[in-house]
Amino acid sequence: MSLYLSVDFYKHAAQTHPDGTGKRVLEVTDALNQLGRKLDAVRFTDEAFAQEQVTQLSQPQQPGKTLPLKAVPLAHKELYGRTFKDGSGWPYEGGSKTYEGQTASRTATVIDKLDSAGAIDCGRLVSVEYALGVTGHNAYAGTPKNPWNPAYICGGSSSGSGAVVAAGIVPAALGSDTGGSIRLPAAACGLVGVKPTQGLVSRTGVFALSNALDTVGPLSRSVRDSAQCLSVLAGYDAQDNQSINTEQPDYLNGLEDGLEGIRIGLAERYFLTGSTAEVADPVASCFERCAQLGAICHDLVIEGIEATNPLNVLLIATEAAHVHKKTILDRPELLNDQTLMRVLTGIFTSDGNYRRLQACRADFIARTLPDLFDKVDLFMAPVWPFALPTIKDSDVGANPEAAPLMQRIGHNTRPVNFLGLPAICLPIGFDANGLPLSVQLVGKPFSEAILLRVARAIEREYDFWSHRPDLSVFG
Amino acid sequence: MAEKDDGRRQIICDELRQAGISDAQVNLALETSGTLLEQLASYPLDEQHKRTVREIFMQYAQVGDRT
Repeated sequence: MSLYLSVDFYKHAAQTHPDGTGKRVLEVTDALNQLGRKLDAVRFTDEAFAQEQVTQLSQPQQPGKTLPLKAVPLAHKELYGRTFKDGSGWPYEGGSKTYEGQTASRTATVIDKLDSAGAIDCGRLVSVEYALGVTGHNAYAGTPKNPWNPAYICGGSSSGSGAVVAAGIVPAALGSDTGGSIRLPAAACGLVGVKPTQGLVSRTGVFALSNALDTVGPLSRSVRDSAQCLSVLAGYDAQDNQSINTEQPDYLNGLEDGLEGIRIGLAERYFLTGSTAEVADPVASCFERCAQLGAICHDLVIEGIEATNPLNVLLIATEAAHVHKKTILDRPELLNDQTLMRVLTGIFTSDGNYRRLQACRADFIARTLPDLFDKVDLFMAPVWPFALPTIKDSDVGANPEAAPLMQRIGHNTRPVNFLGLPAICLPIGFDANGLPLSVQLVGKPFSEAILLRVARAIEREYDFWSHRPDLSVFG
Repeated sequence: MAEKDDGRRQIICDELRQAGISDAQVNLALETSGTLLEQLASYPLDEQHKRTVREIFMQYAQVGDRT
């Protein structure tokens, strides 16, 4: 099987060898069913549907219509619905036995967009139950193994997306990020992860966790592949009550423009001081390298940032309780204990406190953003606050004493969701255990283009994917 | 107000126990919720601020400056 192929490879192959598209897609569905299942990362594939999409691509296209992801095989977190003309739909269980047998009632808007761009949808990948968990453990759907070392977690909640992209099976996969669920698995697996600005990408038809905080974005091995996906995904959707109508740039424009004149902050207080030296020092070193490459670098203090982490936890729990209360009360025994406890935490929030929570969030954003982005264009922080743990050590079900440490995993990611800001993470080396280390770049609303440009400059400097996981351990 | 909140919490606790959720789990959830709600209460909210997050972000979307 051919692994580690890029978006550009598939697009180019579709132009030069269009007759081979079906075979290339078949190789991907086979790899998902073989290597992907050994990684415990795949929920299901649909070879017949993927080949049907290939056949449609061979039909004459409407004049003037472009296919920016033509014949690019993708697979996505299991939160993305797909339905068919006969009324049937793909399984849509949100990673939970409580929704076992449920099928999608509509196709997610972003899936429609990817279809229109010519992408091939090969199937769905494991998510943490309800997308509510950061380690990747899921007794029902599977706990994906990290391709860099199968003893280690992929992080969550987009755990299957992280595993399958890092194993080179597909060039990109959608995840979702409410408190770090794209960035944590992307960082754990050595990937680029894009958490877009709140409102940039539609969530319609996506299994909901938190209306206020859910965002949708890609995980990929390269900045360029993520930029190409984001160019297709971004755009206003009147059916999404958080969607914002804004000019949609081509995110490939300016991607190679480098760091000259870009103002970068290092958020030492809270982010670096709240992380171990093993993950914080490489971020500080990356910051220095950016200065050498022409960026204007400043130390940065974000006043009051400490308050945002617990408020984000409360907001997720409150909205998750609102979404899933009936299911939980009907069948609590089917839920993983950790999911149950996380949702129950939000069930006591009164309407008044919920309104206050939303008001505090808006107040903090209004107070913080103008000053913050007057000084810098973006700031840097670690993603994980400590070195990646093993599947065994982070299994809170088996080791309840691990719970307080595992609750700290979202320390560096949740504040970004609370602020609604765009963030991109990318790998910058390896830790002592040979697992990826990452940095996240956080920018002002709708500054994805500049974040991708900076990420690309860092990617060039570190050339992380000149190394690859040893997949022979998966047989 | 506090009595009303206590009554509401008690109703939810009863509902959870009737659903088969253990006392230990209900009590732990109540305790964690209480801690988080205390942090919410301590946030120095500017009551004059009336814009929603979406409204704030719409302003950024209109600025058109993405650099």
